[in-house]
Amino acid sequence: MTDPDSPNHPKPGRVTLPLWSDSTEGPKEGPRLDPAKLDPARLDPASRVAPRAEDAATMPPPLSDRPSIPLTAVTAEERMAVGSKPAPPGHASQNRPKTGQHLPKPGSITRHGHGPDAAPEAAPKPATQKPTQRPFTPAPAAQAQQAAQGDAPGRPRPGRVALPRWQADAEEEPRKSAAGAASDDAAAIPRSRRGRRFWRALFAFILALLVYDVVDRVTMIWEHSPYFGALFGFLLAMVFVTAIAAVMGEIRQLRKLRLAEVHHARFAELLIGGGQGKALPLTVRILPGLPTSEAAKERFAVTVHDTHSDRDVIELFNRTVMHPLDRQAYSIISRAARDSAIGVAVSPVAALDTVIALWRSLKMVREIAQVYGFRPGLPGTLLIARRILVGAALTATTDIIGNLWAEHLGGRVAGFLSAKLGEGVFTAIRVARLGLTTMEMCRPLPFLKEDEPSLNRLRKEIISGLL
Amino acid sequence: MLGKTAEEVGRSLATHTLRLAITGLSRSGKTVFTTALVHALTRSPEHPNLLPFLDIVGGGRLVDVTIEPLEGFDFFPYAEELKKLTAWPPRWPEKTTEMSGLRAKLRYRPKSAMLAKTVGLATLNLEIIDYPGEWLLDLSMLGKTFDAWSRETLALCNSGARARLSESWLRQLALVESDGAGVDFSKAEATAQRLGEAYRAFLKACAAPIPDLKLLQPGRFVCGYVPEDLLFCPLPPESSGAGRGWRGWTTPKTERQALYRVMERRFERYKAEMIEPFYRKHFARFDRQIVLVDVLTALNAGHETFYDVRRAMTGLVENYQFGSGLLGKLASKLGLAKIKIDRVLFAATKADHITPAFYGGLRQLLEQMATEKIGQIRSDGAAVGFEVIASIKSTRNVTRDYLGKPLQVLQGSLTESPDIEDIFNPGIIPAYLPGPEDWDNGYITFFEFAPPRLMDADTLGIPHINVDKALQFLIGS
Repeated sequence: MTDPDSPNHPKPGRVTLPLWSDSTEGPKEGPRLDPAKLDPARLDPASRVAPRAEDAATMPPPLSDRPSIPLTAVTAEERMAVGSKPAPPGHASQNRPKTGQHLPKPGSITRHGHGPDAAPEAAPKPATQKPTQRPFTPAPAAQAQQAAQGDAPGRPRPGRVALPRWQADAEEEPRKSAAGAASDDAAAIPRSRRGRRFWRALFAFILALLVYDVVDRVTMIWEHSPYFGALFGFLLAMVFVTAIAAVMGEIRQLRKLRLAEVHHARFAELLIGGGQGKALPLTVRILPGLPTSEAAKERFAVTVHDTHSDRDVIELFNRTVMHPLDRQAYSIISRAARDSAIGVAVSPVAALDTVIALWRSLKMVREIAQVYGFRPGLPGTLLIARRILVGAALTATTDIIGNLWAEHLGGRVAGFLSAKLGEGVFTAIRVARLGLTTMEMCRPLPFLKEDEPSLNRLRKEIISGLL
Repeated sequence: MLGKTAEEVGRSLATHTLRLAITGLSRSGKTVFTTALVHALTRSPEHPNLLPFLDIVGGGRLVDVTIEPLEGFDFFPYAEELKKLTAWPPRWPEKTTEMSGLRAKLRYRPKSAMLAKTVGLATLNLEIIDYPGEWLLDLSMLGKTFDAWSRETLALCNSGARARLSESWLRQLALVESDGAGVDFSKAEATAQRLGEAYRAFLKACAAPIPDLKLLQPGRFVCGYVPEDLLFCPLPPESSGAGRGWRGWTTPKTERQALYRVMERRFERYKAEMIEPFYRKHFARFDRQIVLVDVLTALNAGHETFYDVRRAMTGLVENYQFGSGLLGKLASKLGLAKIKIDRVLFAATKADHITPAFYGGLRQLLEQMATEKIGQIRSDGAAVGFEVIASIKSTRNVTRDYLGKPLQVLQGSLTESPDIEDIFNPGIIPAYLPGPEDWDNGYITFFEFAPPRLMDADTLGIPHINVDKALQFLIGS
């Protein structure tokens, strides 16, 4: 990408072909250059002012007069020499506080302060390198690029004497924030410990309830008839074992997929960066791995252009490639929600509910991840795992509470049924929510504002699928 | 019977008409834009990749597009212009000086599934009208008296490049006294005619590619047809009555008054016969407006032209602030219909002449050119948007190494040598309004590229930059 702000941005002109890249060495081996292009005076703004002023009133000068790019012809020494020439008095120090942008001298091809390598060069002569020389502000895209290259806008060039305020702040900042964090921690630790203890206790309580529920159920049947009890216990154990095996299988399959979060973060960065030319290579990289139809990929390829901005590219990618996948993901979520609702409603014991919810949620997560071809990263996995576990625990609790409630009401069929249905609906909503979170985690591209997933959107997708 | 009426009701619900006006100061690429736009629209039902950011196309909902002549307008010579562009060697179209239009009938599936089930296809009658931007500039004359207009215009004529060009006309103005014109009425008419012609010649000189000035009033002297007996020129306000001499102007009081009265009458007639009908018949009926601005050529032409274009642009923007804006007040004062334009897009054309890294800067510059105070035009009146477009993308972006770093450059052929393709490094767009010294360092230099080979335009479409986004802003809702 171009760095238009860099002082070595060439003058406009016809580019002599071929250009070559070993630029620091000069044209020893490369094609011959016109000696005129080597003339340092051509690079010096002072010598250019007079003809330019005339040209400016007219159309661009004839081609032969147009400034050619000085290309690689100037050695490092020459560049230094040109760069350190005092600026013409006519247009020196046009400082525009509005832009806050310190820009290099026109025509100079010395690199000032781009990265650490420029520092030793710049340090010995701070006086000649006035950063306020050229008032050109680069385009926003260029600013973004520059920022990305570690040269933040408004950042002083090396060699300046006064320490800018923010630098002083930056030194103070860590101390202050460290102190603040320490004092915060002092208050926070007991609270979070208490919280953790509470959650542990709650979890243990629910686990105990589940075990009790299972044991109670089995002993109840055992008392009734030991044969049935043994059969029931055996079957239950089998179901548990297979369910846990299924859970492990899901996890194993998930691990095979690529991580989504790396791309996710890059795309999110590009979306706010407002740049150009960086999103396309990235999309090209992830495109082959995506299980979208070839037609959609083809459509994206013919639609996207080298002039589209990063945001444009991402929008197009979203529209042509990701939307079909989103639709698949929505249908997976609705199926999973339905299945787990039915499963929870028909299962006799709370522990089985838990395992069903756990297994169905995991299966959904795996399926969504496979639709996108990516799996969530560690934070995402943790978030989803917590959601799944909490969801399962809640399912268990509602089941037990529902049972108690139904028994309390006298075990009437209707009461029992309605409690079961309520549990089912509750589980379904939880699973759907989990599915939407998973979508966000597994999608290599962040959702744009207009198609952020929500239950409402899920409903719309289901309805439009019906129509 | 009942079913049929229901169907008719549905159809009328699903039919909309939008009048989209395309304008721009001369040589900003109106004709190319209109041609490329119509071409893309007609091709896009089969090739949705041509206008991906226009929702009805990107969503695959556009079914077909037919082109019809528009009543009351000359038919925009779409086929001829397209032929010229796709011929070899391709040529940019000639300058247009009159108004023309066409209707594009877009049939599309409505977005909501409900509506699609009930009414089937919806229709958008997009009436595209192309007129010279100079006519738009003239609108500000509606609210001015001859006296006020003369003052402003004379002050302008004595500054910058205009001072040199206006010399002969001003000399004639000063000489009027010596041949004793103005005493009797018929002579005053003849003098007014002569001065008017001289003034028109001056305006035409200003509009020439050098210095390419844009703030020229009355615009129809430069662009379009004006009856010969409507020519006039600004007169020094002192000549309306007693006053001190102006630039050696010593015509006796009565004679000066006679000439002044003739000029003033012509000025008022020009307003009533040329500007008002345009306002009433056309301008007040537009729904959407796109103003094309050739920022690059303005930058190329130097400081004075650039700021002239900027002044012209701020003048144009004022037209659309109808809440508290100039035209709103004016319309109510003159008893004219209020304008209904609710969306105006300013588009910097020829974006393909710079590298994509500078699109953002160009857009920012365009915004600054149009506004004197930031946020001034968004607050009331029409929604104003800014976009950087290229109706026809005539260059390709390629990357070359420069001093070990990749540098984006353009590949294309210049207008003077359309069959030689080469690589060019265009200049830098200043992201703020440049001062005179910014032209000194040679970074503000842009090339004129020839149209690309468009022989396969029918199958591949015409490549463009952001025309779809411009359309989405204008007609997307």
